[in-house]
Amino acid sequence: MSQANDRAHPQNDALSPADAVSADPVSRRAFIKLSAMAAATAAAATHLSDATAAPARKGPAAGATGVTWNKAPCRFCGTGCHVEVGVDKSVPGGKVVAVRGAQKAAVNKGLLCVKGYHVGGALYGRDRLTTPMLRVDGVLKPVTWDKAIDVMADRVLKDPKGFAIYGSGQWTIPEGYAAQKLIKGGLSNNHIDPNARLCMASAVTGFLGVYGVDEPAGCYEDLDAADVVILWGNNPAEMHPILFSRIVDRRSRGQKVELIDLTTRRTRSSDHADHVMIFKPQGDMAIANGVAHLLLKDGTYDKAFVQKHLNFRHNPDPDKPSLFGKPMTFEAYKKALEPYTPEHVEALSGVPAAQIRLLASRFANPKLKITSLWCMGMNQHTRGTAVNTMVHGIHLLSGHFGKPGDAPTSLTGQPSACGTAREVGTLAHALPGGRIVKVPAHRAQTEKLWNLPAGRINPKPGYHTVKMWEQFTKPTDKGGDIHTIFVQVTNPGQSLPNLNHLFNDKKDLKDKFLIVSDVYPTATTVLADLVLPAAMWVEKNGVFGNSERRTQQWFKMVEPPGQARDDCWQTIALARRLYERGHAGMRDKDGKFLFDIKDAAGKSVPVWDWAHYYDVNVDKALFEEYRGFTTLKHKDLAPYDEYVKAHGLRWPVVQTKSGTWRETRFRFSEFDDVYVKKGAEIDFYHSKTKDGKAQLWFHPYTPPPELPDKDYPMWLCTGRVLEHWHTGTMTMRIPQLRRAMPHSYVEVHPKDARKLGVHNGDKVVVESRRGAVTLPVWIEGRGAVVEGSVFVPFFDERGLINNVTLHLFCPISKEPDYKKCAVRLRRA
Amino acid sequence: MAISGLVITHGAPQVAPQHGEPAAAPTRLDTLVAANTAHLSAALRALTLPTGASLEIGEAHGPRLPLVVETQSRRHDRDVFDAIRSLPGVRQVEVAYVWFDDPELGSEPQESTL
Ligand code: SF4
Repeated sequence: MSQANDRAHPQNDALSPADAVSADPVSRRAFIKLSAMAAATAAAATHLSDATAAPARKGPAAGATGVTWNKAPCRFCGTGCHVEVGVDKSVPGGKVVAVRGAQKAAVNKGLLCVKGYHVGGALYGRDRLTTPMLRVDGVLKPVTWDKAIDVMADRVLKDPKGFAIYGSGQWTIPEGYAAQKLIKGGLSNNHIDPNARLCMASAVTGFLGVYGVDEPAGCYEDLDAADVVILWGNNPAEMHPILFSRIVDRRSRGQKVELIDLTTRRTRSSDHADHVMIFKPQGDMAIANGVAHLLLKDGTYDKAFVQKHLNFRHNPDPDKPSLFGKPMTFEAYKKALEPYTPEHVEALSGVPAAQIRLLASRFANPKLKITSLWCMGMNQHTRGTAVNTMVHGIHLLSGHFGKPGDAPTSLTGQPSACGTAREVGTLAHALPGGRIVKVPAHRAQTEKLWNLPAGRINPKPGYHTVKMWEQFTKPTDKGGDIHTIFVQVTNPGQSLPNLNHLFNDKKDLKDKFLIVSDVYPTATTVLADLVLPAAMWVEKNGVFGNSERRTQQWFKMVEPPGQARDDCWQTIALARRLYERGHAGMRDKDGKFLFDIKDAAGKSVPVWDWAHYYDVNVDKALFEEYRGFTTLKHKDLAPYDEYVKAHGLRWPVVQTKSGTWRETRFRFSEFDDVYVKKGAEIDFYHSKTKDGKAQLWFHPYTPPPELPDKDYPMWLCTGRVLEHWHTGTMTMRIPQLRRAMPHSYVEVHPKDARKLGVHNGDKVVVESRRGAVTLPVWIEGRGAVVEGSVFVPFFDERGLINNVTLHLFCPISKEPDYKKCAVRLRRA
Repeated sequence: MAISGLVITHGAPQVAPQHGEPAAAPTRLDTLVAANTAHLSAALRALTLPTGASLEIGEAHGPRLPLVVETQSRRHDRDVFDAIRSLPGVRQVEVAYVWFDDPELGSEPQESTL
């Protein structure tokens, strides 16, 4: 039996038996069709927006042989739908042959979007990386894993201070945890950051600035109870389709859900909206202030909520903003907002004053339930932290908080941006469980949990993403002190902003070394010195954490191709090689290896040796160790085995008196969160001011950092499309998705197209002060831009729009702004 | 062979109550939904399918209609999916099940475009 089959655990009755798939093609086909109809009928009878359990799937009886079903979260977006993966075990190593929505999963109740539908195909692109390759005389040549690990160890030992790890929100929780421990507990340089810095760091600092603790208070059920859903620069119809379906589903049943779309361009979400409010780039700050202004002026804010639950804050010197700023009085707050009349906001944002009044009137109505959603539009913003706190602020000021349906909620684009980047804290300044390296007590707690000698963890934050890549692409003799970056599960050669500044210069720097672990060749492997073939998704065990604090586990189901291996194994193997070569940081204070993983009998297992990696469940061992951190900031996780039984659980997960584990849907609300003080109703128990209150911020509107001018007269916004996920590494290998959206494009307004004399399909050069890219024109295509602006998706490696984008970032979150910069267009 | 189980959600009834208004009479809503389902079913049956493809419509649950599409390849499966998605009145098409035992797999671009 293959290793994969050894590790595949049937989950429950819906999944366990190998469904009957007869060798007779006719009855086999009939069987599959019956199963498909059973799944679709059950899903149709289930309302995504209905909290009651989904009806049982009635299908043909299971039994016989053929396909084994097992659960896993979808590999793609942060919605975190659960799929059931059908594996044909008659193929050596197993092969994924079918996918169906997991009916018992509360997130998606049996449904998947078009990407989830094709997720199985992502494993089977023809150019999977299957062997480690080292660049010799400019050419990548196959090497053994042993040699590859040796080369990596050489790079660390050359100068451990200059070795960095760059990961992502696609790291599983154990993978991110292992990398975090290696860098912060072993190499003590703190140079680890995830690509999540580029997509949700401003959401993190927004939550911290307001509540003192990260991640949304509410959950997806808010969408089932909301009367009004406001999209702040967010396009869930394409980016989080199954979440958007909850709204569509409610409307289809005759329920009134008002959808307000605040956006800089019309999208598929706009097509469903009752009100589309098109704003000028950065106008969101003015709009939020405009709403707060009207609530105060009209006296329609929630006075009791303000009195009981809020303090006021600002940054007195806008040039030196800080995460926690300074206190201000309610009167000073009110005065600061006085200029933001609807007419002034109209002038700043372009949204008509009447629409600002309409928006404010919704917040002014205490009978309505309002949920705000946002994602990259608000996070990839040079004032990302500020605008995040402002949207939380209008919910708090109006009391639209803490009841089902009343929630300010940020979404994530990656499947474990929350679970791994935020909760494990794989950011340059953070430690697991909401700890930070700067705080001595946090370092001491971490050293204790990791059994490290006191002082092992460096108090100085490492380099955040932009700084890390700047230091890597800067010549060593000019101060570029990062000599090696080990990239796992991401594609910075395509996704970093301003690639000519942050990535492309690497090719001329002979003493810099780039290690890339990935499943396919990418724009990053083009410049890599060492390429490592990685196992992906159900080729390995994993745990993800989705946008609603839901932690989700799965088991390995099929073998990875060739010599592809788990990222977590790669990290542990590197650590072990360093241990063997005498790096003191790879030992704990008792001299034991940092990743000393034991079997059930308490015997150490040599998991750094691939032949033994799956002798024990490494994920479980690391997860249980990590759990020790999660209670430090009320992000409590249950034991690993609880997640094996469930389709995810939302933290804090607390043990009841009867010994069962209970998840939390609505944090800070007494009716659901056990950590709220009795009688408090709402309790912000990580309040920065230590009085149970949240911080309501004032920030003035500030103009964008780069404005169109006579040389570069147009706005550029970048983003995504329904069919492709992130840089397209996986989805461009799925023929159906690639055919549906075969290449990138530039969305141009018809008037601008006329001025340029171009038509659909004509090639134009999109250029900024930083670089250029040539793309075909699409006039009024998928979305609709306003005159004077263009939109380009970033999924296509043949048309790198990030040669053009800006790398300026929010001063607090360090998240760059991909949504607005000045460009010009010319015919190619 | 490609087989998928899909769920179509069709257009919202035009009589959705406004905030604070009483819900529309259930019979009226049901009638509208039934009419929409009938229209959609007819449109589905009228779809031109690729050779060898079939489409089976299941029992509607309110405005949600399950169906099974069988085609010779995933390419055709996707074409039918797109055709369904663009039918008038279709709000959303979701996937509940997909089987892809596809001889075409490997015959289409599935590799780096660099
Ligand atoms: S909505 Fe996201 S998680 Fe769900 S199936 Fe689609 S891509 Fe996967």
